[in-house]
Amino acid sequence: MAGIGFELKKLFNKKGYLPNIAAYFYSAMVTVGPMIICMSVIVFSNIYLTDIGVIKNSIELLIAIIVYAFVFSIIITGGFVYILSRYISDNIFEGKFGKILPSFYGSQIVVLLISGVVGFLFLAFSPLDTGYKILSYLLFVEISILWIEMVYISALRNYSKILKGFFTGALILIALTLIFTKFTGLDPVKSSLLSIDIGFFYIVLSFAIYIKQFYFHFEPGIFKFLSYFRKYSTLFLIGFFITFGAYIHIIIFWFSKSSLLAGNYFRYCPLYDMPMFYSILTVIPAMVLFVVSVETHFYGKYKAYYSLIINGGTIREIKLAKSEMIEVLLQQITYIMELQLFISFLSITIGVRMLPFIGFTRAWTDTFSILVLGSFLYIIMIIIVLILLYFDDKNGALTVALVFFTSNAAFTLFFLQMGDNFIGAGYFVGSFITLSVALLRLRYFLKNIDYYTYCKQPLYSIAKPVDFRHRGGAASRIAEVKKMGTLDGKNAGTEK
Amino acid sequence: MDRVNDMRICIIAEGSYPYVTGGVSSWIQMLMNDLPEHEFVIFTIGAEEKTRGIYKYKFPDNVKGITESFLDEFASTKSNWGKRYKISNEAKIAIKNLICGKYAEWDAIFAMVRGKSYDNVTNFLMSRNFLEIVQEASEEYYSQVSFTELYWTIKSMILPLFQIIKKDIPDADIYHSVSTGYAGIIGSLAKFLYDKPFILTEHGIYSREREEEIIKSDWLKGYFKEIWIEFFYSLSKKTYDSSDRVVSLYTRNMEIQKELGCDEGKITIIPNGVDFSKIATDKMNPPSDGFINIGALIRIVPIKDIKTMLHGFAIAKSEIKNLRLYLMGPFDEDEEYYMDCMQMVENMEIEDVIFTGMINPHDYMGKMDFLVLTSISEAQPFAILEGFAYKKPSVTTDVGSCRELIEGADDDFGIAGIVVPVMDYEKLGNAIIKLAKDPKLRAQFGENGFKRALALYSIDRFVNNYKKLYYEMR
Repeated sequence: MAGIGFELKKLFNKKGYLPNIAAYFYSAMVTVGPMIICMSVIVFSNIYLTDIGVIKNSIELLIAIIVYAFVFSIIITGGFVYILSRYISDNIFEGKFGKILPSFYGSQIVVLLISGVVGFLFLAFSPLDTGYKILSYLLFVEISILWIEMVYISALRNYSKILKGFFTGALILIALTLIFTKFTGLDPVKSSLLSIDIGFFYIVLSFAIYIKQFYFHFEPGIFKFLSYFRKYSTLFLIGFFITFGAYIHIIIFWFSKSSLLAGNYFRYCPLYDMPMFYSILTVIPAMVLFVVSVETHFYGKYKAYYSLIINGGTIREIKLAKSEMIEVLLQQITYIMELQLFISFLSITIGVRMLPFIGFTRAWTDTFSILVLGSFLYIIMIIIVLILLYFDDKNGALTVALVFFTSNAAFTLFFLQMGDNFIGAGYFVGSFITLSVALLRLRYFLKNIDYYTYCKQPLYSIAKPVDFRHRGGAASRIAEVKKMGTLDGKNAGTEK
Repeated sequence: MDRVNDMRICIIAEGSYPYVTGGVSSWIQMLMNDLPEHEFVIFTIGAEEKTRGIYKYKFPDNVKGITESFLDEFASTKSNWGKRYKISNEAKIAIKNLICGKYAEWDAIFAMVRGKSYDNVTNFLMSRNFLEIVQEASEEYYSQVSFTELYWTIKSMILPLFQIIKKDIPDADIYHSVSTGYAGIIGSLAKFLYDKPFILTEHGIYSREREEEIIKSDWLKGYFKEIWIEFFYSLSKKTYDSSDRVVSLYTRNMEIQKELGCDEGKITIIPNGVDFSKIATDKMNPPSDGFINIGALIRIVPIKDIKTMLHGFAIAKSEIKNLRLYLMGPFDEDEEYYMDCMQMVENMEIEDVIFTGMINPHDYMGKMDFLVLTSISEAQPFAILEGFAYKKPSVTTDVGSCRELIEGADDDFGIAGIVVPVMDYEKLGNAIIKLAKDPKLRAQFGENGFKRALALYSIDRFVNNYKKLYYEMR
């Protein structure tokens, strides 16, 4: 009967994350960075260029270029971010540090190819002059790279480095803008765009250097990470649809009857875009809170539960750990929801008073209010999806992502027909439905978590444990390594 | 008696016929050969799929078919996890009891596994029902044990069992298992499904053998040893309960069976039988070449404890120079052990040790002065009986029915050899010396053994007993 055997592997025991007040601020930068960066650049450029007397149309063109660069680069890299997060975390766990840097290069190449082609096609047919085309192209491509870099950098949790990078880049951007417009005869909008390009180039370069420094191990095979696309195609789809869903409603408005054209090419819709961008800022607290509470309160319980399962916990210990974990999880979710709801209402109140001062019309402010609520639902939904991924419920996460994309798009289209009173309703209803689906799914999953933990493992199964990654790319897997051996000759009654 | 209608008998064998040469397999071959009026079909349970089709025996003409199954067989079909089956409460409780080492209603398990809604074993083991059963068992019974390990242990226990239960069992008039364990379960299953007569013949006591192995094993930890031991006892108990008749080879085994819960009224003793007509009567006497020939009719495997035999022989050899030891049997079953033995002969510089390989006993038996058998575990070795047929006494270890054969259970035939403790090479050496020095004693012992064998262990008796048994069972 020798031969029946099984191996158990211990849960990866990484150095724990220590709560740190500064961390609240740092993690916000990494998780909502893109939006803030985009907003800041736009706001700065807007104010400065208006101030030096540039005509409105040109400023709108600049803003459109920036917005398009951001939105489409985020959509394109959305799926990659999820898969790369998983790839990095798996390799860290297995100690295969040499695989990380090559994947960085490989993924850059892939993303550059895609963005390069898409950007080229989009800009080639535009009526912009060559200067604009090149500068816009550069921005689009740079930012695409930046989002990939963010995945690698956030794994390192050296937030001060990240902040310094952005800060310096911003300084460069501002300085150059001033220099170019004041001391050269270059067209101010092009100068701005050029400065933005250079500023971002600095950021991209410094991050790349830092990443190379840190992940110095290099194992040949820069495209090995592509195997994860086959293995985890679901993850890619989740990332893609969740990201795309967050912008599809905006894009739909760009094609509505209220849309305008910037530079005779870029569609935009200020009565929706502006309220939307500001509304997204209001949900930063939830994101920050989530990231921190997960690492401080939830991770411990989660790790305890799975540790007991792998390391020989008795059934009562496991049951207890499970209920504690679920309790803490629900507590945290509730807390975040309450706090964010409060902040959202506060934002609406403030917005109604303050937004008119920066040029918002009455209608825009109304739209802002609905979108704030919609964004509240959206951010909670994102949190639930991340939690589902922590438990490796990829199917659940995919369902939610698909529901989000389709309901957001469908209801936005639907409410477009209903007139101006219903601007923003599509986003609200879509997010509401998606959040409901997500909550139901989470409830179902937690109720059945035992079955997911045990029944899913095939009889000959080897699965890997995983550490957390915060931010959208987090994914986790059940931590068991088990192998069922065969029965050998001594099990059957043997001959004498 | 010979007018008995021919019946179809399904022989159910585990880990023996036709893959392994040895006592049980030979016994089966003998049974089928000597009851030509009946048809036989064979249902085998082997340990490893890779031995499929590799037969060490040629089937007699009255063998009409063979169904092979293996404990490591694994339908690698696409599995559906997380299903919820509709299983009866009886089945659920039965499985739980089986897991907890309590008395289990096997028939409920049979009904469930053979039921239509039970698609395949893998799905069941990945089902919610199964997880819940293990959880309940853990709560009630194994609350101090690592749950995950328990879950996987139970899975590995149930998988081969349920796979076997799902197999198609050939049609037959009588089902005859040659051990308890999985073979016994198949017989019990046949009884449950077809309500046909079910006979059990036990050579060694399966559950005891498994218990010993498990206790000695080093890859199973504490609690889990118990779970497996209880499991095998449960298989035995069910076999005893389901069978209509239980055949034991000798009295001691019968006592053990009773201890293990077998109904005394069911047990019959039908010992092995040796075919006196096949004795080469012209070759009964050893050659007078000045040597005393000691024969061992064994396979070169650890369970025969050749090393003790060699050591004992060495001790005797140091005192008596003209001793020769014949190790008569195949040595390819455990190459490593064979090498060890050869090494031992070399290291201890033992002379006159001959490994003959596989031979026809009838060619060699007559040449021997006496036989030796030092097994750690035996039932009723043919080696000794054949020796008796040739009037050769035996020095044996005290295992199985050896003492009964040498000293008689309840007869006046006298002593036919010397019994020594297991692994005691000193006493073995002394016994060899005693017999080697005393030809008169050898002759007397040999004669006693011959008379005993003729009266109680002849093949005619064996055949008649089984003919009668089959006839009674139809």
